Amino acid sequence: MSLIPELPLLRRELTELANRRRTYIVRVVAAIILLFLVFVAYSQAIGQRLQFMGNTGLTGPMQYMGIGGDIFARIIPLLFYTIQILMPALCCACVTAEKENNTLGTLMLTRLSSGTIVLEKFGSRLVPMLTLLLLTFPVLAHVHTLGGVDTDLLIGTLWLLFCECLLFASIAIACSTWFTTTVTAFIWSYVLIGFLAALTLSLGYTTFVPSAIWRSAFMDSQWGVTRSQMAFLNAAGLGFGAGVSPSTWLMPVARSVPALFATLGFLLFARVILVRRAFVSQSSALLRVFRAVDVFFTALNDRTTGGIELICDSNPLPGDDPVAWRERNKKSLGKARYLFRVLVVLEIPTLFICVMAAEVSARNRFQGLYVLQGLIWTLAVLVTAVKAATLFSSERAKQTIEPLLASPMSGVDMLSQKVVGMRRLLIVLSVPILTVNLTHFLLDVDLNSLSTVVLQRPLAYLLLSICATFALLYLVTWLSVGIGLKLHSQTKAILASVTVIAAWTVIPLVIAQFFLLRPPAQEFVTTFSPFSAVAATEQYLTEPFMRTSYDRYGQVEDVPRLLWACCAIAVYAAATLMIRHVVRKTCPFLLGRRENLSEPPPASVTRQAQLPVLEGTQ
Amino acid sequence: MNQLAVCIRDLHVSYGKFEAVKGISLDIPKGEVFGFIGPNGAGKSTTIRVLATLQPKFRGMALVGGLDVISQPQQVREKIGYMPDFFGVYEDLTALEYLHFFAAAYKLPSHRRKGVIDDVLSLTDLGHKANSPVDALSRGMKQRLALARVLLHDPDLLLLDEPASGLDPRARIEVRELLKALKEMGKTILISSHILHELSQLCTRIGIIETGEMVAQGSLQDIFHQLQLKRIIHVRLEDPAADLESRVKEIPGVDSVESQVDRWAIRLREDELSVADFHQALVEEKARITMFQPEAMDMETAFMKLTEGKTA
Repeated sequence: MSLIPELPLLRRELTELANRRRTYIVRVVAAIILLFLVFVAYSQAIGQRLQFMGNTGLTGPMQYMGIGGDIFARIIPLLFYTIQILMPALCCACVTAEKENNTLGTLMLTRLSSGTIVLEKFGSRLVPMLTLLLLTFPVLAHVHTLGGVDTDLLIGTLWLLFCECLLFASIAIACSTWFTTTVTAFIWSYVLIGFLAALTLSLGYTTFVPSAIWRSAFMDSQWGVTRSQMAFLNAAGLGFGAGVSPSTWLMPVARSVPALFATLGFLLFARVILVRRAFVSQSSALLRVFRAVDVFFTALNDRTTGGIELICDSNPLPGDDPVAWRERNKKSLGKARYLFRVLVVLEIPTLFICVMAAEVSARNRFQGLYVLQGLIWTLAVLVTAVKAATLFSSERAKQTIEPLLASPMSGVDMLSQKVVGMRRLLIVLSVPILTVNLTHFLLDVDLNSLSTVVLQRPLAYLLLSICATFALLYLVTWLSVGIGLKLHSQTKAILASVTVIAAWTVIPLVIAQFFLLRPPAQEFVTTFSPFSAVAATEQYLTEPFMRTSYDRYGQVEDVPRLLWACCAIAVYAAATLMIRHVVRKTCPFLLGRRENLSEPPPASVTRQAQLPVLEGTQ
Repeated sequence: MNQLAVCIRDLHVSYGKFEAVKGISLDIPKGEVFGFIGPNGAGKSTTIRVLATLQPKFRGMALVGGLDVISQPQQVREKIGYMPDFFGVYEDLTALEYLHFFAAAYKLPSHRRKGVIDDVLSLTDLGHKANSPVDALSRGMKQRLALARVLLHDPDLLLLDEPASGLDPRARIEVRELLKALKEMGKTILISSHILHELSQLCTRIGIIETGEMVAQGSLQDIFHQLQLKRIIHVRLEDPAADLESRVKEIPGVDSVESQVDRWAIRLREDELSVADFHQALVEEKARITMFQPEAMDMETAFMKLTEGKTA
């Protein structure tokens, strides 16, 4: 009898993974990106050290003493971020894919127990992540040789990286077991992780997320000096000596016990619900929630008013735009009543924070609201991208697209109606964004001295904000619709849309930051990021205040913000129109059907009007 | 050629290096029910998808009612009713809303929609389920609803890909009866199926396809003739004379006589001797017949003889 268990499911998963070409492509691309970031962190750490040493006058080999600690402190957060980003994406499909392919039932008929299925799935997703992390080990080994990273620090960090993988994988697997589609599992994995991390960290409990343990155990400064810096200072003979007792690797291992218990808890949860949730219908979870809320409110209304309805729900049948009708009347993020609920959920906390900010802020100090604005924008872009990317891919997944494609509706017609059906959602998402802009506007207006001159800038800001909001939301919509048309799988479409938008937004900012560009080159490069449309608008409002500060410190005047804001908005409005044009033009091809080169004459309507209904049935 | 509902010439469809359809040619006159049979992966669904204008790349010619699928796909869509081999569920719609949705997609004038939908619901016997969610219907009802959908715009040609697949016997019979009714209405139907027995009851002609090639097409009788299939008749006789077997063998049209435990299995060349004439000949030979059972010439035999179970 072999002591090594056979693990057929793990073997199958790894074989499948090995047989896919994209496994290697993704792995190589991820490795290149990760190693590039590591290289950037490495060079920045060395650059800063040399600059620091230049100021102190120290030269020679001594200036590199303990530099490994600086590099280590920059590299390790990147590894934690990589795990946080990739692990849920890797794991969220492991059970839902079986559900979507109707193979979970077959799997459960075998002798594999629920626990084995969950554990083998868990293992199959850990292996790719760990192999990716292994790629950075040579770099870590090199950093270790440079000094400034003691062995405890290295072992403790590796352990915490491993724990982070375990925790995040277990959360994603629990979501994958609970939800019926990969898309919902994917979204809820991140939401749950974000929620748990935010909750525990806001409560000051840093032993739940391993990355937080690492930060507090190894990177928290003692007397203002981090452990890596301490290692350097000690080596240079400038340290605090034996007064500092660095934590041993045992401490972070002990502190990671709650994370390990949480991992175990999520895996047990997945094991318990695997059978129970195996054959649940793939209907929209959000729609089910809304329907449950409907039932509750109806019952409440019946009890309190005896069923009086001031505004009754109309349930019209489709007119001449059936696709838009379905999007508007039958979808959770399309129906007016449901969207109003979404608006209330988004708007009330936004309004509350805005009112609080207006109460406590001095004029022109909006830093607190910028965080809120960033959060709302992120949420709006994510919701828009997910919804737009799944407009067609969800029809493909549910196999409802073919009968529609065989109808005389043109592809462009279908596409336009789908996007028109999203209009309400875009308006709802824009309301909290514009609420923050309105708060900025109100904070900037001096109500005691209202005049055209005083109002000119805030009003222009408000107008620019509205333009920027809708230009960017439509840009995300059309881009994601295009990607959703191209990629047939819902998960791939969502991932690709989010990745493209994130990359488009972040890369120009990183380039501007990395090369430490000065105006106007900084503005020029930043304009390549859609973020510039929002940033330029905000900076236009705060320009007088900023200019006063610049003047005080004798800095050079930079690019006029109004010009930059107008240019950025115009660029992205034009980009939206261009993407829309391309998507509409390629739509029939991407939908996989032929269309006439020119529109057919509207003979069908007249022909239908003349024909008897179902010859033979009359 | 305009009298043909479907005309396909030298159709080739490839998915990358894999050639799914290799030079199929096919004519279906108006009003005919054409059965498309073949093993899984033979190219039936791909051929149907070409006619449904859902195959963007192919070589050869495909005409529907004289309209070219390549250059006039929009007009072709108005002439066809396509039912794929799966039924995607719009979980959020009722049967009535589902039909209204497609009536609008087929651009039926709004004032006529209610009447048309009532007609197709009544034809498919789904009137009582009009307000039920589509998701809640049984598989048989969903298939009937899909048939109701393809009838909404009163198409000339129905392209039905495996309409009876996965149905229970009752649902299958219901669908078959519905198709018979459509046949009587004069619709041209191209139907693919694995259930050969049902196709034989419905189709005026059949085409057998394997590895992307048409191996035989024509009426059932034509195909049996092409295959030189011989009719087997099982006969049981009371106290047959010792020389009766040799005398039966000598009847013109009898191919062979095989004596089994309780009967004789006689192979008949039906083009030379009909079953009725053979019965008459036996009586004339003074045979005392207690059982006379001609074996049905079925499509399964033809199918098994013509195909080798290969996929393209």
